[in-house]
Formats: sequence, structure tokens, C-alpha cells
Amino acid sequence: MILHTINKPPSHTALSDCLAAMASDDVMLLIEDGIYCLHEVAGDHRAHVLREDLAARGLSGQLPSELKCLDYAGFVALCTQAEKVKTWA
Amino acid sequence: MRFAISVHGGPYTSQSSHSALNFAHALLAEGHELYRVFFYHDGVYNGSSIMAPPQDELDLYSEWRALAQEHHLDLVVCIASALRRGVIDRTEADRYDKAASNLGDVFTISGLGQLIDAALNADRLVTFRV
Repeated sequence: MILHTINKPPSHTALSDCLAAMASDDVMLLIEDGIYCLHEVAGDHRAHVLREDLAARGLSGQLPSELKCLDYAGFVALCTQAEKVKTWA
Repeated sequence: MRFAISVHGGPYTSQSSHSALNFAHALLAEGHELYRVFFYHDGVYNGSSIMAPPQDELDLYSEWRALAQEHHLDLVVCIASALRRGVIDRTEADRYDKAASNLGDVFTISGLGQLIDAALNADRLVTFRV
């Protein structure tokens, strides 16, 4: 299982490139401006969002219920569960 | 678990440095080991000891320095990235006949091999790109 991090909004190719490369058992974490991909990944059980960056963009109230919200400790834990971490930017 | 971090973004330009710092704090708080932080491209500006941000803003240089001193971290700036950007230590200043040096005392200048070494020797390498 690979953890993919995305730090770019949906106007950038990072999300589509990542989705094309992701395996079904991989996981994704939206960080920084990747938070703006929130609605694009709604319904994808592999997607997680970083709570601090979500709050910094004023979008805490718009979190789709099926997405998992993590703090930095959760980000670290997800890294330990994954075999490797791939950064898309 | 043993982590390594690579930082590609300059302070106050992208969120990369701040995210990497938060991640470093979190992994150390969880009891993990931080093998090395490798500052690459504009990330080398994190090592400039003469940055002087407003007092009510995050001082990234001082934050890295404090974290390194507390946990005895290996903070490495890429020499090829640093020399191009005017981030140099005393040795490089002498070598290139420059009037001053600015690299902070907890940082070292080294080559890209240190990133490869970190990738090989850490269980996880996490990169914070621009």
C-alpha cells in the first residue's frame, strides 16, 4: 500500500495523475492546496484530508462525511502503515 | 520507525517548509526517529541564519534550529542548490572568496548523496514539494 500526498488544487494535474497511478488498496492524503480537491475525491474511500490545512482554508464545514480527517499525528501514522510515500505536486 | 524528510520549498513562498516542520514535530512527538532533513532547491533558504521575519510570524529558521538542538537532528542543505542561492557556510565563503556566510550552525552543506543515503537508511522518506 502506497500513501499518495497531493498539495495542488484540482486545476493542476496532480490529482488526475495521482488517481491514474493509484492502486485500489492505496491511500491518498490531501494537504495544503490539495484540500481544494475535497469535492473531486468525495466518495473515494481511499481519500483522507489533513485537518489543519482544511481548517486553514475555512472548509471544515464542507468535509464530505465519508472522507477521513487526520491531524499531523494521523499523517505520521498513515506513513507507517504505507510501504512508501509518494508526493504529487 | 525511522523517517527522513526532504523539503523543496522556500520559507514564506510555499507551505512546504511549514508542513515539513509540523510533520517533523509530529513524528518526534510520536516517538519516531528523524534520520535527516534534506533541504533541496529553494528549501535551502530555511538554513539562512540572517532571516528576520516579523516577531508575530513563524520564524522558520529558529524553529528548525530549536528542533535540531532538542533532538540532535541532521539538517543538510544541498550544496548545489545552496551555492547558487547564496546560502553558504564559512568554508564555502572562503573557497569562493565571498565576504560573508549565512548558513546556520545546526545546518551542514553536503551533496545529493545525503538524500540517497537518507532514502536508503530511513524506513520512510517523505517529501514536501512546492
